[in-house]
Amino acid sequence: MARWVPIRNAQIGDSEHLGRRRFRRPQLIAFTAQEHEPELSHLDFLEDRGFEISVDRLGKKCVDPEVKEFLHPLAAAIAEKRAPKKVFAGWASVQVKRFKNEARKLEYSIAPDPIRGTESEDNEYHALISCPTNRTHLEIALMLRYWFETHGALEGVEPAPRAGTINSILNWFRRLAQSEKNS
Amino acid sequence: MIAATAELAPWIRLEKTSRTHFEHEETAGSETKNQLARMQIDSPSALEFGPLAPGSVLPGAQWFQAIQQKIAASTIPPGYEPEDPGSWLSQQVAAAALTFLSKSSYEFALAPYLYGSPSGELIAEFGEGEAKSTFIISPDSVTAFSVVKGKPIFKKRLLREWSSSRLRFWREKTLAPPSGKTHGQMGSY
Repeated sequence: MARWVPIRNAQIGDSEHLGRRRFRRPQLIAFTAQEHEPELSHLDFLEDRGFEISVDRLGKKCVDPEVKEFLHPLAAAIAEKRAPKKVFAGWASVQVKRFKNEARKLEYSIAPDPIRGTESEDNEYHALISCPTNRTHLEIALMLRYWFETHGALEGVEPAPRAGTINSILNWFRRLAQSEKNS
Repeated sequence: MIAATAELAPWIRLEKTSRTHFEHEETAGSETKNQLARMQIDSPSALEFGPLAPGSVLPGAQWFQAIQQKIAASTIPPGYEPEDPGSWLSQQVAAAALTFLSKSSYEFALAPYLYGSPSGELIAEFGEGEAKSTFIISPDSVTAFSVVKGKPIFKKRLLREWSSSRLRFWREKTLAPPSGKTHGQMGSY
């Protein structure tokens, strides 16, 4: 299946899935094996530089593995460039309609924001969640975590299945069926 | 480079009075006892707790005993400059954390999940899923956050203002059974 590409300048649809990039969380030196590790931290949503939170549009009706595969190297490269260096660990995703109403009541809004840069930085899937400026960054981070955690899921960074892989599995089944028939 | 082991721990010292609550420490090994004796919380608020009736056992005492040594072991030794923010605690944050978590252990039955933030605070997460309370512990204040029935509750108080009754009130308000209005669940990969 071809990779989904958002229509330029079109609004973000209710069925779309948004993904917030997650990075490997630092662990305290003596707390390496704790039980009940929370999947998300407010640190995954903390943005000190302003009141807009970057997200990726991961799919039109479901999370598109091809979109994830396209964005993975981009996200990993950007994480590597940050100071201190970070390790990209997938996305926290949520479908827009799951939290749109709650978000609107609290003056959050979502808009597409494609990035045009060098070839390695182009990201037509980029979008921004605009947050209320009368809230602290911490409050915003904690609120977003709540929505993504309650209404969403985690998306890993496994590669999308290749057409070649699927074909070879189908061929194996065909050969198996043929040999059963022959015997 | 200094190795990251518990041997680096005793930069925080625990007052003997703050240990009188934990009956099971009496049975701890002599090495542990010696280590604890060398530790002393620099914050005077560590002495806020009153004496317990003889023989009483606190529900949270066990988890607190387990984590206090880990907090001490995660404290930056003097003169050491960590490269990885979020992996170490300053002495001030560690002292505040011991004070706060010691109080919390009276109110929360299960240990929190603890991690550091890049800006040096200690984050303690009590509860799971929808019923969750997050505390962000800095040297002189603690910020608590939870979402109850879809509405955020946010409270920042000085460390000493988090009394047992306030913690109990917070726990009862935030860790109530979930509303059941979830639309999905977290998966792993």
